[in-house]
Amino acid sequence: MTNKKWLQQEMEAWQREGIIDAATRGRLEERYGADASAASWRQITLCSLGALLIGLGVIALLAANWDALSREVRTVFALLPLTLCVGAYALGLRKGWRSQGFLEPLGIFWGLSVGTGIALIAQTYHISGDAETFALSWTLLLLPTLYATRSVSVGVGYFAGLLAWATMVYDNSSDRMAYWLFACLAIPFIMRLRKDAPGGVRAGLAVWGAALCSTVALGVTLEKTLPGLWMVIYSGMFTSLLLGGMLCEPKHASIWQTPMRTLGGCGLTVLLYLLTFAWPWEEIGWEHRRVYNHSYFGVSLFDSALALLAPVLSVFLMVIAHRRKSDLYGLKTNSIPFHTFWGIAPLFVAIAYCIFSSVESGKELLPAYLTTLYLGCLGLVAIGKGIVNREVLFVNGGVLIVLGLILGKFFTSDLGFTAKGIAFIISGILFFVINTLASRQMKQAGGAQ
Amino acid sequence: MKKRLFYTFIFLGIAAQFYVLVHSIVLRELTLRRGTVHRFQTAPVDPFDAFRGQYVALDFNALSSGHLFDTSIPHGKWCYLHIGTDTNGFAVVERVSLKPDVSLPHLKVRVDSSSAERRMEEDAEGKTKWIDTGKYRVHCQLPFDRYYMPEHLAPQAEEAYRQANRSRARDAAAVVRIWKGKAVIEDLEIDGIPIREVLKGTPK
Repeated sequence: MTNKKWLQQEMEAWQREGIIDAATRGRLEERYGADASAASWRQITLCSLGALLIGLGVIALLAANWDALSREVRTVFALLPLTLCVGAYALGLRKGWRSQGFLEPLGIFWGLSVGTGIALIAQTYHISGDAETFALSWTLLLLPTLYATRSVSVGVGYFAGLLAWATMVYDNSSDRMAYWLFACLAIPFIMRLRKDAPGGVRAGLAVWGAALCSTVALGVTLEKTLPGLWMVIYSGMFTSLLLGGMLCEPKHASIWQTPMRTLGGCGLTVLLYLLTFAWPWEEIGWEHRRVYNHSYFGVSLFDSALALLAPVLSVFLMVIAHRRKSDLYGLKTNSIPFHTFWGIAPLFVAIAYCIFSSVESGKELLPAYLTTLYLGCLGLVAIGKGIVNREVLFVNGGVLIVLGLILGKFFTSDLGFTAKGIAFIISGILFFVINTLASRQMKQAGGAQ
Repeated sequence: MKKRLFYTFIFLGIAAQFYVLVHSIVLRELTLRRGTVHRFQTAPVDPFDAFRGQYVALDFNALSSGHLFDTSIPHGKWCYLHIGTDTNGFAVVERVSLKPDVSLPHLKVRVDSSSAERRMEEDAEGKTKWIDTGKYRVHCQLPFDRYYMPEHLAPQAEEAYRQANRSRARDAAAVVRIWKGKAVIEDLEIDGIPIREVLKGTPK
C-alpha cells in the first residue's frame, strides 16, 4: 500500500470518527497531495477521451449505414446506447465500482447516448422540431446522468447546454430567464463535489464551467431596458464571486482550484477597467430607457432586482469576511482588510450610476476618472498586500493593474509614438524594479508563500 | 434513508430518459400503424431554405391562406384542424375548432397567429374601404415540415422537389398518417411515386 493510500484511508477514518471535519480533511489532502480523485486523474482523462471517441465512432458508423436499416432496427439502435449505459451503471452499483475512472467516461457516453437517441428518433420519424427544443430536452435529460455518475464533463456540458439554449431563445425573454431555474437544479451536484474534496480539481473544474457559463448567461438573460444597469449587476456578481471564493475556497491553492476567486477578481478588474473609459457612462439611466411595444415588465423587474440584490449580497459577504478576517489573514489587524477595498466595488459603481445617470450628458469623463482612481488604488492595495504577506501573485497582479491603467490611458491618448514608447519603457522598468524589490524583501522575511 | 431517496431520484430520472425516447417512438408507431393516409400537396419553398442538412423543408398548399374561425385564437394556443379530401385526392383543412371532432381525422396544432378577416366594399359615394367580416383567419403550423433523407440522396431530392413545385406540371405531396390528432410523414411523393423511386430513375 502506498503512503498516499494509507493516508487516505486514515483520513476517512478520522473524519468518520469526528476527529477532523471535511474542511480539515480537504486541507490535509491538499497539503499531502492525497486527494483520491487526483490520484486517478490521468486514468480519468484517458478513459473519458476513450469514451468520447467510442461514442462518436458509434454515431458515425450508425450514420453511415442509417439508410440501409429498417425503421424497427433504427429504433432499437436509438435506444441501445442508453440501455447499455444504464446497464453498466447498474452493474457498477452491484459490483461496487465507484471510481471516477469508471463513472466519468460512463457519464460522457451516457450523456452522448441521450442526445443521440433523441436525434435518431427525430430523424426516423421525420419529427419537426427546432434546435432550441432539442437543446433543452437533451440538457435537462442530462440531470439523472449528472447525479448518477457525478461526471464533471456532464456537469460542464449541462451548463454549456443551458447557455446554448438560452442563446437560441434570446428573442423570448420569459423563456431565457428559465436558465437560472434550470441552473439551480445542478447546484447540489457542485456542492457535493466541493464537500467531497473542497480543494479538488474536479470541484474546481465544475465550478469553473458553471461560473463561466453563468457569467455569459447573465448577459444573455438581462433585458437591458435600463441602459447601464449591467455595470451595477456585473460588479455585484463579480464581487460576490470574489468574496465567496475568499470565504469558501482553500487559501493557498492554484487558480484552477479557486475558480470563484479567480473569475471574480479577474472579472471585476476587467469590468472596472472598461469603466475607466467614457463610453459605458454615455446615455445611461431612466432618461434613456428602452421602451418596447410589447410588455417586458416582468423580465425588466429581473434586471432591477439583480441590480439591488447583487450589491446587497456582496455587502453581506463583505461583512462575513470582516468577521472572519483573523481566519482569512491569519493575524489580528486593525487596518482595513484587503477584501473591503474590493468589496465596496458594487457600491462605488451603483452610487456612480445613480449620480451620473441623473445629470445631463457631457459629464461622462468624471465617473471614468473616478473609476481610474479607484482601480489604481485597488492595484496599489494588491501590491501592498502582496509585499506584506509575501505573495508574489498579488504583487504581480497589482503591478499589472497599475501598468494596465497607465498604458491603457497612454494608448487611447493623442500623444505621439515617442512619448508612448518612453512610457512603455519606464513602465517595464518599474515592473521589474517593484518585482525585484518585493522578491528581495520576501526573501529577507523568509521567502514567498 | 438519504441513500434510498437518492437512488429513487436516479431511478426516476433514468425512467424519464427512457420515457421521453420510448413515448416518442410508441406514439409515432401507433400513428403509422393505425392512422389514416392523407396526401398533403406541397407548396414551393424558398430554394435557399429548402435544404438544411439532410432534410427537405416542406410547405403545404392546404395551409397557405389560413382558416376561418369565429373568434381570434391567441398565439401558441392549441387548436384542431379537421382534415378532408378535395376532388384531386389531396388533403384539405375543412374547419378549425378548439375541441376535436373524433369522428373526423384531425390534427392538434399550435396557433401561429390569427387576424381579423377584412374585405373591400364600396360605399354610397363609390369610395372603397376595408370592413371587418366578423371572422378571423387563423394561421397554424403543421407538426410535420421536414422529410429526412440520406446525405447522398439529398441534393437530388431537393432538385426533384423544387422542379415539381416550380413547374406545377407534376404534383408533389407528403403522405401523412393521422391518428388521434398526431401525424407522421410516411413518404414524399412526386406524381404519386415515392421520392426514392423517382430518384432511382434520375441520372446522377
